[in-house]
Order: sequence, then C-alpha cells, then structure tokens
Amino acid sequence: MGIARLRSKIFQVAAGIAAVSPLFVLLFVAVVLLKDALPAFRYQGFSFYTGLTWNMGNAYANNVVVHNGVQAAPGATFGILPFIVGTLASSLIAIVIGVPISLLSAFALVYKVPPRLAKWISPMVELLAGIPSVVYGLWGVIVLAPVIANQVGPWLAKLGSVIPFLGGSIGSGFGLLTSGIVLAVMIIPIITATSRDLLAQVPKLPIEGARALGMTSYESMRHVALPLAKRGIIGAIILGWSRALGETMAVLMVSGNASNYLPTNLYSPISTMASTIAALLDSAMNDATSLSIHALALIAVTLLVITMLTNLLARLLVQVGRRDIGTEG
Amino acid sequence: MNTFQKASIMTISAVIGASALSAAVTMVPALAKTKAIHHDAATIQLQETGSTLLYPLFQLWVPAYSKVAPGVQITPAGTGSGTGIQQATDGTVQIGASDAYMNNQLIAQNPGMLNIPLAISAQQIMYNIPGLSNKTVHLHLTGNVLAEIYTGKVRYWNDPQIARLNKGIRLPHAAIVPIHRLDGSGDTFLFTTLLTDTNKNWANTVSYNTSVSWPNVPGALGANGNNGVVQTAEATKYSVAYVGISWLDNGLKGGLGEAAVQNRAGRFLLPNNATISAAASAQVRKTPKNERMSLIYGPGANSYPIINYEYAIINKKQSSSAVATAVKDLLLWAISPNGGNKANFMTKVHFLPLPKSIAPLSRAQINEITG
Amino acid sequence: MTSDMVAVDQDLVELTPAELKELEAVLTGGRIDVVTAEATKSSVIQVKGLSAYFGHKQVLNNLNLDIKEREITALIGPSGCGKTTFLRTLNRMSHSVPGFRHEGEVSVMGQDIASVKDVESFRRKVGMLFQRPNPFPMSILDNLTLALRLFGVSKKERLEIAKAKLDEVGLYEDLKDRLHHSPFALSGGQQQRLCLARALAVEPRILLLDEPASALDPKSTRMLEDLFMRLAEHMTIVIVTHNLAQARRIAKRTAFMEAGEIVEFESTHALFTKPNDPRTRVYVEEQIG
Repeated sequence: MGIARLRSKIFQVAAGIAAVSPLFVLLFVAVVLLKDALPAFRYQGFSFYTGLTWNMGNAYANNVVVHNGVQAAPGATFGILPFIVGTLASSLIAIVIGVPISLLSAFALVYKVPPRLAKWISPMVELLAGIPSVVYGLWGVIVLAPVIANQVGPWLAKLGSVIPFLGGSIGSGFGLLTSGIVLAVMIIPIITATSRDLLAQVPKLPIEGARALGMTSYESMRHVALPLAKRGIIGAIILGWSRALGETMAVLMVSGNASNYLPTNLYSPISTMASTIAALLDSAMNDATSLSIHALALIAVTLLVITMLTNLLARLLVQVGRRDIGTEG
Repeated sequence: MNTFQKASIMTISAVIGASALSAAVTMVPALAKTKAIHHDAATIQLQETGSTLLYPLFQLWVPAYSKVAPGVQITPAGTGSGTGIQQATDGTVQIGASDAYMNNQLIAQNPGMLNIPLAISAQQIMYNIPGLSNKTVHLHLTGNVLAEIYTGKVRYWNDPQIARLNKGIRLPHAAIVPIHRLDGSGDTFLFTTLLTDTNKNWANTVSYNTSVSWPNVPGALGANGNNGVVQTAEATKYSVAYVGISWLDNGLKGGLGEAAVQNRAGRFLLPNNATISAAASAQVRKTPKNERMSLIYGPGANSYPIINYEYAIINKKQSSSAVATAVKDLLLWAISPNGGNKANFMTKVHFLPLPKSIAPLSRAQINEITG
Repeated sequence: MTSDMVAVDQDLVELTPAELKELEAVLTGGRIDVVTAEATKSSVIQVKGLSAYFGHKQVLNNLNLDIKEREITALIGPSGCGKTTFLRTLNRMSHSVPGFRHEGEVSVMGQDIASVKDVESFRRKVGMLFQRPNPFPMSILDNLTLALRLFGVSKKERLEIAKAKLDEVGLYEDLKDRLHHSPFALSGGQQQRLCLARALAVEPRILLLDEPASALDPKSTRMLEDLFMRLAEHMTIVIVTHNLAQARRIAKRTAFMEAGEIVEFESTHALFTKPNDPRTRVYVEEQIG
C-alpha cells in the first residue's frame, strides 16, 4: 500500500470516529446520568415534575426514612416544577427579546454597514460572545436590576390591567424579567455572529432581484434572504436557546433564586434547573443517603431531555415551514 | 458545507454543551481523585479541599508551613464544605475543610472520620433600611423574630414583634425582603441552627443544614456566596441577610446596618473579639470528645450567639505512616497559638483562635491518626 | 408625413407639463398607431457626460447617448468595459455598491437619477433581468405576486396579473398545475422566463437586461429573444450582451463600449456592416471571426 493510500485510509478512519463521537458522548452522558438519577425517580415518582417543594430533608436527623425501597433524609421531597417553569420562562423571554435584535444586527452587518466599518464591528460581536457569564451577571446585579425595579417595572406594571402577568408587585428587580434580559444580552452575540455568517453566504442574485423589483432592503431581507438562510438561522436560534437553558452563573446572580413557588408575575424571583444543580451540589453531599445527589442528577436528565425536545421542536417547525412553501391561496 | 450541515453541527454541539454542563457537575468529585504521592523520600504531598471560608486561611498557611516542614507540600482548594467532607471520606484528599461538622448519619457510615476544630468563626445579621444607619443605632433582633421573618409571619419592619425589641426607633411600614444563601454554605448552617434553637415551628418544619428548603415568602431572594448576599442586600431596600464575619467590613462600607442579636442570656450583642471569645470559652467544657458540637446560642452573659468551629475533616486511617505523620504535624502546628493560630493569620481572615482550653481535646483527636 | 411629425415635435416644446404627460401616456400605451416612424420616438433615457467611479477608480468616462423608447438598444464590448456598470446605473443598482458615485446627468423618463428620492417606486418602472435566473425561495406563484402584495395590490388582482404575465412569457400552459411548487425544479430557460414574468408583473416601462441568456441553451435563448422583440412593441429595452449575433438579431441600435467609453453608437445594421471607428471594426471582426 502506498503512502498516499495509507494516509487516505487513516483519514477515513479518523473522520469516521470523529463523525460518530458526538453520538457516543451523548449516549455516555445520558446513560451515566440516568443510572445516577433512577433512585430519585423511584422515590418521588411523577410528582418530581409536578411538585412545588424542593427539600433535601434533615441531614442532621438521627434517622432515615424509606420510601419505595429508597432511603432518604426525613422530610425529603423533590418537586422541580418551579425550576422547570423558571428555566423555560426566562429562556423564552431571552429568545423573544434577543432574536429580533440579533437578526436585525446580523442583517445590518451584512447589508447596511459599510464593509470598512463592518470589518471593525464584526469581531466585536465575537468578543461579546466570549465574555464570561459572571460579567453579564454582575452587570445584571449592579445596573439592570435597579433599573427594572425603579423604572421599567413600574412602567410595565401600568399595563397590568390589560395583561395580568405584567401587573402586581415589582419587588427588588431580581427575578424573571431581569434573568430574561441578561440571558438575551448573552445570546444576542451568539445568534448575531452565526446569522451574520449565514446571511453573508446567501447568494446575492435573488436579493438583487428583489431590490430591482422595487422592494425595500427590509422587504428583501424578510422575504428573500431570510427564507434562504432560514434553516441555518433556526439552528443559530437553537444554539442561543440552548445557551439560555443551560446558563448557570449569570442566572444565579440575578434570578432571585426563589424556590418552592411558581412565579406570579413578570418580576417574581425564579430559579432555573442549571443554577439549582450548581447551587445545591455541595449541600447534597451532606445527605448520607445520597438521594439528594440522585435528585440533582434527575434534574440534569430533565434538562438534557428539555434541550433535546426544543431542538426537535425547532427542527419540526423548519420541516413544516418547508412543506408549506406557498402562501397564496 | 451547506447551511443545513452547519446548523446540525451547531445543534449537536449545543446539546453536548448543555449535557456536558450537567455531566460535569455530577462527575467533578469522581474526576478529581488524586492520591498523596511520595515524590521521593523527602517530599510528601497533601491535598486539602472544602470550605471556601477556610480556603484563604490555608492559602496563608501553605507558605508559612513550607518553612516549618520543607518536606511537605500542601495543595489547597476551595470547593465547598460538602465536597470537603465527601473527598476526605473517600480518600481523594487527606484534609477536608468544613464550616459544619459531619452529621450523625455520615459518621455512622464512616466511623473513622475525625472532626477537628481549627479556628472560631462568626456571623452577623445585616439589614438595608434607608435612614437607619449604624451611626445612630443597631437594630435589636432575636433568633425567634428572624425565624418569623424568614417564614413570612413577620412581614413588615414596623411589625409589633420588631417594634417591641426596638423601643424609640421609628420603623418604616415596608415589606421585609429576607435574603438567604442559595448555595450550600456554612453560613446557612449557622443561621438555621440559631433559628432552630430559638423557634419551635422552625425546628419542626425547616430545621438546619448547609442548605434548607426555605419557606415561601413573597419577594424573598437567594444569593450566591457571601459576596452575592452583600451585593444583593446593598441593592435591595428593606432587606435583611445573614453574612459571614469576614464580609462585615464590606457590608458596612456598602451602607448596610449591623444588628445586635439576642443571646441566650437575653442581652443584645454585636460580634467582636470579646463577645466571640466569651461565647467560645463558655462552651469548652460542654464540648464532647469528638468535638462535633454547635456553638450557636450558647450560655454566658457576654456571649455572641452565632459562632462556630471551623473543622478539618480527617480520616483516622491514612495511606501510610509517613502521610499520617505529615497530617498530624500539620494539624498540631495549625492549632498551636505559635503556629497556625497566631493572631496575624487569624485577623487576616476574621477568625478567632481556638480557646486554649480546647486544645487538649483537639490534640487527643489528632493523635488518633495512624498510617 | 415627415413634415407633420416635425410639427408635432415643435408642438411638444410648447406643451404644458400636464399635457406632455398625457401625450407621453398615449404614446407609450401605443394607442396611436400612426405614430410609428423613427423620428417620432422620444428619448426615454438621456445620458449627458456620465462618469462613474468605484472609490478612486474611474469605470465610466464621459458617456453621452439617448435611448429611444419602444425599441431594443444593445450594449456590447469586451469584458470590463463598463457596460454592465452603465446598465446598473440606470436603475441605481450601482449606487448600492459602497464607494460608487457618478457625475454628469442621467435622465430616466424625465427624472434625473441623482435626484430620485423614492428609489423603490423608481425601480418599479425600471425592471431588470440578470445573468442567471434568480427565482425567490418561494412558490412559482409567490414569485410573481410577492412584490404586488407588498405594494398593496388586492389578491384577486394579483392572481389575474400573475396568470396574464405567465401567459405573456409562454409559461402558463406548462405551469398552471404547478403554481404552488418550487421554481427551482424548472429548467434554466423556464426559470429565466419566470423571472421575466416577475419583472413584468409590476408593469415597468423600461427593461434592463444584463446578459439575460448567457446561461441558457440556444433554444431557450431564441425563445427569450422572441419575447424581448414582442415586449419592445410597447416598452423600452436595454440589453447588455456578449453575443453579437444576438445584438444583431434583436437590437435596433447598438452601442460599442471600450475602457469605460462609448466608442460608437449607431443603428445595429450600420455598426456591424460599416463601423466608423477602427476599434469597433477590430472588435466586431474578431468576435464574428
């Protein structure tokens, strides 16, 4: 066998391994987590997902309780509905705020900003994406939370009579809205950078066609460029969403970290699944029965499943969008 | 590469990102395993991990101790008390550090584990009430009233229960925002122990631990770490929070008030060297041989009610006699008033040295360590 | 006859703007059949001293020409001679390239392009077809109706226009059952005719063609050329082409450009049979071989 053929063979094998490795990593993580999480599910059952109370039990008690063959500290109850709601609600707010801004910035960078200026601005977007989340969190604590508590909140609350979720007590500024905005700021650079690259790859000719027909630059983006880059941009949005779902540190700092109740309005303190795992792991080790650790693993499994479901859902939306290519009756 | 392939690669990596996060969190303890390694006959390596409150003290000790025992190399890490206990128990590290002593269940599972006090720490209650600064007054609070606040039964600063303790002070009719640590923490352990000792309802429902299931109080906030608590309290009017003593100056600078807390004898005291030492000395005689004891709400007219032992968590049986000797020597040096308990170490991290009379108990425990 | 026409021309000078507009509408609508003679055709595009630059680089140098309405004018010349830039200047597409600027006067339908405020409305009157078919990523029908929808045309009207224009380009019979399908499955020739129908749907008065058949096979090319000839009966067409035979087949007049200048602008027949300028002669002879 010649050197060239050997090289090609090695490349093939390496590429093959690289290609399937994501699947194996995912499988490995899933299996390890599931095994770790199982006792918590045996103990708590489906009320794990419907319960409002999270209590790792009294680790300093002298006895343990047994339920469904699983040992637990007295008083242990694991209900994560508030964490699920907090995770989904904050990430959805981030998407609702972040996606339009990201797409507009990406569009502006590709079509509007003079290339000489874009050459300077574009790397800044990547730079923003690389800022550690603790920095965004600190900005949320020092700048955003007071603004929400004193300016934005009172103003939004006036709409409370129309949209009930906007009304009610504004509180301290630490909560759902602040978390959503901080997450939005964090995912905007990610979605912008990716969409920008995708839009830059859209063939010029159809857009010129649209412009030559007398369509405005917004119209050509909305109706011609965006549909051409749609699949990729949905991917970019999923990437941003996944980041928002899994973000830990920044949320920990600004969410108010409520436990044991669901948010009552847009300003309520919340907790997310990722931040709960990070916050409670150390204390969970005090639980001699280890059930607290298993329960945290079950949160991790749930987060993994939710991330996968949002992916699938977004993919499905793209498929449906493709079949439904016509809009004229 | 077309856009679809690009998108799928991005989504896959996103899933991996999200799952890796969760995986990493659960697997950290398993991955961190290292043994004490004999580099050569002369050098012994010791690993320390655990309490983030003790971590700065170990960082001060390491260079000082390398002069005392050049053959011993110590690598400290601040990971959290729970991790310290866990990794000392499973042998990943030789020295675990914890703000809380091990519970009976864990001791029953691991009877070979020692809890050795290294120093005394304390905690103060701080509040953010505009117009009520430390220059004029220190608000009086009791464990019982704090428990009522943290269960949402006392909702306003001018509640009769608070007013009764603070005659002559104009208290605002503003909703109290209780702030708690959301991460597992020795400070939560101390605070909830005080509430357990002073409020029956709290003892029966919430009890004490390094993190607890906080009662549902509208607007209550959780914050991450002592710095997070201080930041949040400074940013939140009408809040109340428990803060580790090393963050006292920080909170005062930020305009927070410091409460005088009622002790068992009924007096309202601030934490300082005198009240903390008094509280520690008063409980030496009550301390059991294994030294696993709460110092919260102890006896003594001049005793500040929220103090604790900071522990080294050690396995009696070390991997070799050389390692055992190294650990023993280090701990004996650490608790010695001429060694690690020297004032210039203690004041830097806002700890107090152990009372002299507690030393024999600690030394007896240290002598149980074997190879 | 001729003297009559001259009289009309003189009269034009005396007309008020409103009357002029009316007459223009009548003329371009082709409703007066007697007005067919060459001399009666007014210039719909007038270019005086046009120079253009990309940054510091000059690409067009002092162009002067009048393009008459309702006929096909071809622009030929070697690659890089500026003919496409010139074409794209006429509907201000060049101006969207950063660094582009022009000097001189370009009047399109009586309006100086430099003073166009509403570029979108302006471009509706100046359609364009590109080197390669560029259907939008949507159904065949939506391709035709999207712009109309955005301009606020009612749905009923949109569908009628779409059908009429498809019919006009000879696609309706083939595609009437596939209106909701993707256009990307069509042949190149069909796609280009669809793009032509799309351009026609907004009723432009001028059509700019940028080498519209360069990517097509001979049969599709001929089909398009026939279409252009028919369209030229009621609209003005400017075509950039490398294919001299094509210019000869369809263009009434042809301009030969070289190095950003117009070397010669003549009736097509004259330009190809007895060019005045030696540069034209060399180019034509080389190209035809």
